[in-house]
Amino acid sequence: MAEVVGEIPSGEKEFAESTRRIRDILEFPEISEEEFEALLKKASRAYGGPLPHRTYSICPETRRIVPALVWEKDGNVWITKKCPEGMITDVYYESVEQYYRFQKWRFDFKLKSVNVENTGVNCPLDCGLCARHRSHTSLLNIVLTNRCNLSCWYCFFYAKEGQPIYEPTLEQIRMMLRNAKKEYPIGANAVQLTGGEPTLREDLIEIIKIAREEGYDHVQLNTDGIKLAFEPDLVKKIREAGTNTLYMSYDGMTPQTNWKNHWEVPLIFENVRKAGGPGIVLVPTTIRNVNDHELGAIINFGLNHLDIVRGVNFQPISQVGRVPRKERQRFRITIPGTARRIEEQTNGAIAMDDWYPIPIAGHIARFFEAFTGSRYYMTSHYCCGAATYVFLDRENKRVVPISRFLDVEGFVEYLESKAEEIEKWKSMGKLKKLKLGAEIFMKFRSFYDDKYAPKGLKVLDLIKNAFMYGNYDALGQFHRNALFLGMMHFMDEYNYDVERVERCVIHYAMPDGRIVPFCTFNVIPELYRDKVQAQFSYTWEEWKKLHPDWDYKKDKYFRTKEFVEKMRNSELYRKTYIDIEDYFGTIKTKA
Amino acid sequence: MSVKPDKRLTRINFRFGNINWERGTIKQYELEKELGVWRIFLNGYAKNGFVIFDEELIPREKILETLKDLEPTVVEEKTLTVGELIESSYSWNNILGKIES
Repeated sequence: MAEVVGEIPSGEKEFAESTRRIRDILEFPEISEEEFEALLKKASRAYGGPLPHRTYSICPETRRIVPALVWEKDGNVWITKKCPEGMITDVYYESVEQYYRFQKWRFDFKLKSVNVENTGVNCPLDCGLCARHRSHTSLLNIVLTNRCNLSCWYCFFYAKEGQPIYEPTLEQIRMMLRNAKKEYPIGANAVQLTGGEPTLREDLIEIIKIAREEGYDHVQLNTDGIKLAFEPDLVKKIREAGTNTLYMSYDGMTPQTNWKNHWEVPLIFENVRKAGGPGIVLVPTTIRNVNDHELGAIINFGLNHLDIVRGVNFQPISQVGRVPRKERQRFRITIPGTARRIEEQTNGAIAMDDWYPIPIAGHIARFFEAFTGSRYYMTSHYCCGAATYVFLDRENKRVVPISRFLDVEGFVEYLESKAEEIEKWKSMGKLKKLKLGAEIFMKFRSFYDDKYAPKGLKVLDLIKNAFMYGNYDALGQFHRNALFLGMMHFMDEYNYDVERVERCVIHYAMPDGRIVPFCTFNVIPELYRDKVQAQFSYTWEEWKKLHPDWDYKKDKYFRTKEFVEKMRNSELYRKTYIDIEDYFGTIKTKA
Repeated sequence: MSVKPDKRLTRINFRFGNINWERGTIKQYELEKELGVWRIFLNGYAKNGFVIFDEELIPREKILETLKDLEPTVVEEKTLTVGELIESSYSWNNILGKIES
């Protein structure tokens, strides 16, 4: 096994080694131009229509906006587009069944504030947000720097030596935060500070405090965690400043699949435990034939560290740049493909049907807006993401997804009917609210099956307190026993669907006053990410003048052989990776 | 940051005599890639549009030359600063349907 030590981690050799063996290839179907045109003619057009469905995409080569067809064959959903240089097909969703189950939960929201003058007819060429956008910002990303302590071989983003450095000022950051917070009718509540590597900024603590000052309830750091492994005080400071979550890259269970921070994770965990937070969300970028055999093991790993790990968020790979068809077939995986592997690798403990689409949250939010006045909408396209909760029954060493003891879909339908009822009322006094809360709690019991519920978790008490008394104290117990599982499939040039972009909920703030969807910012970097950062970057000379003591090499992390040896033989390493429970009976954690 | 808020930009509003949606988007992308173009929208349906650009980085002649096939007529021209452009983009200044009192 390739394992590179004694240099700045870049992952190149590990990736080459990982991809030597091809376990399976996803064959893309052929479709002729005539078939394409015929299907396009009869395709549904309105959002959420049946397959085949007509949408728009972009040409990877010319960047033209082209008609695209989302269609079904052999149980999979495909996207085909006719570009000036020919037909391009890619997989859109690896399960028609899940596609329709998720489609049922689509939810459209209308954003009523904009950042650009255009009407959106040229989407995605002039993102703002614009008048056509259908979701407010659920998670705002702010790039704090393009400096990085790693040198990932595939990354076009981090500043190489001598290149301009993008680092927005505190005032710019404040205005970017405020811009998204003031979206109408609902502003952003959650922000992710990202990079580059955000922990390289010396004023990070101040930035976290600014996010809090600007009214953000949730602040998360998107980090490789390296600095946090070696600076326990920094972990404490970022927690005290108001960081809720470390959104931490974690691609696999071995030094090969997780070359970024495998050896540092035990130290990161220890420092987070000592500091009493922030909670960690593990983020595996999921790649077919590379790490898709370790997904169950990653969940098992999270369950073994439930005191600090709050969730695992799988991100099926987005293949940015020019990628030949063969390579796409080899590495491409989608949300249902990821869920299917998880089902296999957890012995059916977490099955395909245990997942829900992100916009189901929109239906729940509608109820809570009517019931409590609080507005937390998450209304992405139904193919963008999936989520579930799994509970750890420690008594029986059993992992139970929420869907096994709660009819989630039935309960959400019920809540929505209640929302409709409340929306018709002119006002809701305290007594009426208490009565309604009691009614909902009583009804909840009919959706809940105690026999399958994890032992030791008082779900009924939690629901009763939440609906009747607005008391969420029991949530702490919920968090200690539950692991959030999520998936977010960011698009690339090949599977790009304008209908998805129009509903994007994860946005980037830019210092030029615009807020743009994740999948335009990163997929069309020449118009957004790279261009705007070039406009607002310091030249290398300007940067050096402003920071005379700074040295490029000092930013970089050098993983020594001595460190790896020390970790390999440590008790901490053993406790983190080796002496852990196997909750699924399938996990082999070799380190 | 390299760009100063008081940097001057030029805005030109156009009418087009020969445009449709496809040709509009192609030209828009072509110009939008330029570092000196800060905002652009070419509406192939309404047959109008605008470009906000930095004349120090991209001369107006290049803008007009690129748009030539669309048969542009300059309707209006004004200058603004980067700071003004940013301020005018903020969400609180752009609430749809809001009546200013």
